[in-house]
Amino acid sequence: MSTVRVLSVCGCGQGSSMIMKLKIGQFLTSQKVDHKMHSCAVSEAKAEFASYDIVVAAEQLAANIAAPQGKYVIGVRNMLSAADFGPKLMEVINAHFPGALKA
Amino acid sequence: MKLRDSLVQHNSIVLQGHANTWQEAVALGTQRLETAGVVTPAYYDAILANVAELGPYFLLAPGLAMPHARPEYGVLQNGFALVTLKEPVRFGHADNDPVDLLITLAAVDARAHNEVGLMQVITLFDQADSFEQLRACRTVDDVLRVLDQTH
Repeated sequence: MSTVRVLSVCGCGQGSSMIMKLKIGQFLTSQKVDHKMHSCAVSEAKAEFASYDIVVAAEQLAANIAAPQGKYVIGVRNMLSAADFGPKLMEVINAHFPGALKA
Repeated sequence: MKLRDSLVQHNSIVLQGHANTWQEAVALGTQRLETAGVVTPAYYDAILANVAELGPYFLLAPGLAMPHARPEYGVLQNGFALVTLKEPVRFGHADNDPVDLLITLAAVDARAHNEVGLMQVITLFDQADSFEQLRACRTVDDVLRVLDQTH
């Protein structure tokens, strides 16, 4: 069992990124994924990246974030819809962080 | 701060507003918050400057924007405004334009901040018909009824 660490990022680190933190946290709990969520501004994301496995951001912001080796960036279109970010997120978790899936 | 409490206390609901541009749409919400003493005029300027730099980062979902900037740019207290537009505006967003619902957010700090209020925004729009219900609202009481159904 391990914890997947997810960082949500937005322009200023408090509105959209907090919405994603709350919404994605809810989703991962429902999927029984052991996770830790944090949110920050895009300007802080680079420094935070080392402490997280997956970064989520609005699609156009995500396109400008380079993922270091072993890290994953996911672009979100609809921050309020698990149908949008859910499959992309679970694909990465299933492939690379299966230890976070609770039996 | 709770969404409903702020909207009532700050008199910050604008229904069927008219805006020619997204900037005017953002101003409909920030002006109400200025009048209520929630933000200074610097807040509106900061939102526009952020969009110029980063693009429209606060479009949450198709049709829905949550304009906001950092607390140090003129936020005096926590609060929300809710704006519906008669005619939608475009922010230049690939997925979520056009927008006719805006929830303006002001938060005094970036940490624990408005998690309660933001959770209420999430809960509200978890119900897909909330979008249409808010668009149909013509009075403040209509809005409060929609909010009360979801919380």
